[in-house]
Amino acid sequence: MTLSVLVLERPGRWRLTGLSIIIAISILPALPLFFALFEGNPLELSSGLKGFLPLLSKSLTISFSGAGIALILGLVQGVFYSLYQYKGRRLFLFLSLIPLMVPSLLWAVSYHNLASISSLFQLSKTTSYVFITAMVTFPLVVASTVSACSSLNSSQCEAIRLGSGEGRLFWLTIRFSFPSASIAACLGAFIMLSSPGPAMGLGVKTAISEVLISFSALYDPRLAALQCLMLSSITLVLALLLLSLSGKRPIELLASSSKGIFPYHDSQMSRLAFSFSLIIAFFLVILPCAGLIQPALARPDMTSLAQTIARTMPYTILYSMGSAIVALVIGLLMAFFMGRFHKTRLVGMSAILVIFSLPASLTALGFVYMAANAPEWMDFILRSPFAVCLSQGLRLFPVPTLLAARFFASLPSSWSYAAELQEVSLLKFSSRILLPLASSTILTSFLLVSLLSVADIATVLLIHPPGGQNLPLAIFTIMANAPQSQVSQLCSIYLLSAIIFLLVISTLWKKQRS
Amino acid sequence: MRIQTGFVIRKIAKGFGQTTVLSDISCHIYPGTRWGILGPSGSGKSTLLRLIAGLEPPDTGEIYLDGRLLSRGRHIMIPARQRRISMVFQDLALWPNLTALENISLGLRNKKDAKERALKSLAMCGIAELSNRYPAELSGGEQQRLALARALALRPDYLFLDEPFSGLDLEIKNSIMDKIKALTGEHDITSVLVSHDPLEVFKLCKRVIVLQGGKILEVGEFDKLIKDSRSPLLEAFREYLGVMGSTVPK
Repeated sequence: MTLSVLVLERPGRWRLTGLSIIIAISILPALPLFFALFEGNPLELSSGLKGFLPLLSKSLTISFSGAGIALILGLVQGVFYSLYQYKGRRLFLFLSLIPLMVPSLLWAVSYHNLASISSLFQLSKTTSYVFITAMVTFPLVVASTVSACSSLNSSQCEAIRLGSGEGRLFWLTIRFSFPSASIAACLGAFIMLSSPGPAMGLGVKTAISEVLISFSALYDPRLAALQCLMLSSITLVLALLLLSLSGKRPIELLASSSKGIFPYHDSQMSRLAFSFSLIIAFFLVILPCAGLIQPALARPDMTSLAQTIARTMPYTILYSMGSAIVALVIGLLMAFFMGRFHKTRLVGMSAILVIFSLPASLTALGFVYMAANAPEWMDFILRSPFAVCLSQGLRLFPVPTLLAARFFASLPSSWSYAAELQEVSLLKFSSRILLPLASSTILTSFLLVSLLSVADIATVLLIHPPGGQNLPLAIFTIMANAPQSQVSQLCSIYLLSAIIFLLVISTLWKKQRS
Repeated sequence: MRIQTGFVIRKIAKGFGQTTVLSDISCHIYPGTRWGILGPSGSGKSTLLRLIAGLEPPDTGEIYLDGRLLSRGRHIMIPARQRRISMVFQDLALWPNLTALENISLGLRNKKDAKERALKSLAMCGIAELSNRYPAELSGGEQQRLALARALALRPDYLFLDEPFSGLDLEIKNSIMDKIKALTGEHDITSVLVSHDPLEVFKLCKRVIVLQGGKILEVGEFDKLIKDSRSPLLEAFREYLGVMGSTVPK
């Protein structure tokens, strides 16, 4: 019996069941943390949590301030990119993606270096933290704005341009993209809320740094678990609130796929777009990169560098590829269950936005908790690199889901209908048509997840399989004691590798769009 | 030997969400002639074609082919691929990563003669020399012929045409229609054309089902219907023919 291609086009409850199973699996590792609530003395715990609440409020203020800056700048940048043709347009978009693709810890190192280079850059730790949040959130806002704008068509723009002028068109496009951009900005805020890099690098006490301190310095995994649960609950409530306020349209726009508008050359607006992009690229990307690279130019200790790279490279590759494979498998399944149906797409998209918002430390601590309570023979899974890959894959699968959902949306249903009538089996249709056409989407997802998983320090730091240190964790470990030049050299190597990866991704993306 | 009685459609209905697209549709599409399903945009023509083909299940009603029950309500007894139907879609549904030859041979089971049959089908539609080209390398008319060749390669009993001529200029449209007429006649294939354009139906079909608002308005011989039609679409067409000083062909 051959499976019919029409399964791709048929709605049904099985799709919602499939989605529910994947969502349940993705949050399953966090469940053991709830057992911590019922262990030990509750009074002891409440005193431990007392100091955590002000830190949580401080973290929220920092994250949302940075996200606010990113929202304003990213929205303008995204609309400029979508509407106008200007010099270096694609290069600026490429540059704007860099901050998201490296661990935010590196930007903390950069701000620290910049402050030692010139007094101009001597900002307070909190201000630096806000800027780093803005840097990391900015690419998300730009990408979601560009995605929202691509659902417009050229005739709509021409009609406004002819009727009301360029300024009105710009303002209306900003208004149109605002809901999608706001979701992305909040997503960035949530990511930074649970990213320990900048807090540890700058020496600022935040909610997530407190979780790590409770775990690794106070050796109190129960307190860490509860703090992490509290942080996750706040994130969950805020994410759900955001989704209910934003409505369906911006969520659907993120998963839709269209060719978009053809950028237009307007001498005044194109000049403005170029100047704006240049200033933004300078302050958000070029300057922080220079802050990383400048101290690295001091005479490098090649032996020590080579030793660190050789020691960490196998695990860096293993974690990134392992996480990418896990995320890709789950993501493709999720996109398959979402299909092209309004209801399932809305459920799926909302779920992945919430899952992506949750702290990486939630799943990681869940694995740690399981490892602590499981029999010893389970260590080969729960304390191994596999646990790191699984934990990161379960957190990052929203990335391939989003890209695959956009790919599926771009396929006409008549292809499956034609295949069914031509007696082409599902297997043959997938292997000869879907997979070859989806290859660049799959590869892009793979590389993106690889980059993002390496940038996530929290998971490796918490699960930390014996001897399994990757490059970002090595930087994190030596940051406080090693010479500034050595740290910067490692950071620069990382930055360079990330840029090469991004170049490959953007080439693949371009190929797919064409 | 099975007696060919064609498609018998009994009281089928179909809706999407809150919208009813088709309701209480009953008709008989018998073999040996060229059928047209005519109606304005949104009247449910393409949906009806997809239901008959088995690509989507109806909500209620029954569909029979040569006396065999194909579907009852939402339950499909005989899947689309076993109904001996081929279809040319509005967007042609050509797979862009396969050559013209591969587009046709992908669905042919017997690998040995698949290539030969595909080439024969391409030759029948006059594009044998384009077998190694990708769809994007073909002109609009050539793509149309490729879609037709793919549909005919399966040697179907029924050829469904879902508004395949939109976007073509009149000269190419005419030549493809002539080709369809010739090939369906030669290979004893019953064609069913879905269109909103009475001119296309006028040129290609003998019998027509007129749909309006998801219901059948009338069924009959095209040249008889046009003389005394209740359908606003056919009335407008009759007026147009009058203006042009033309008459309905006998």
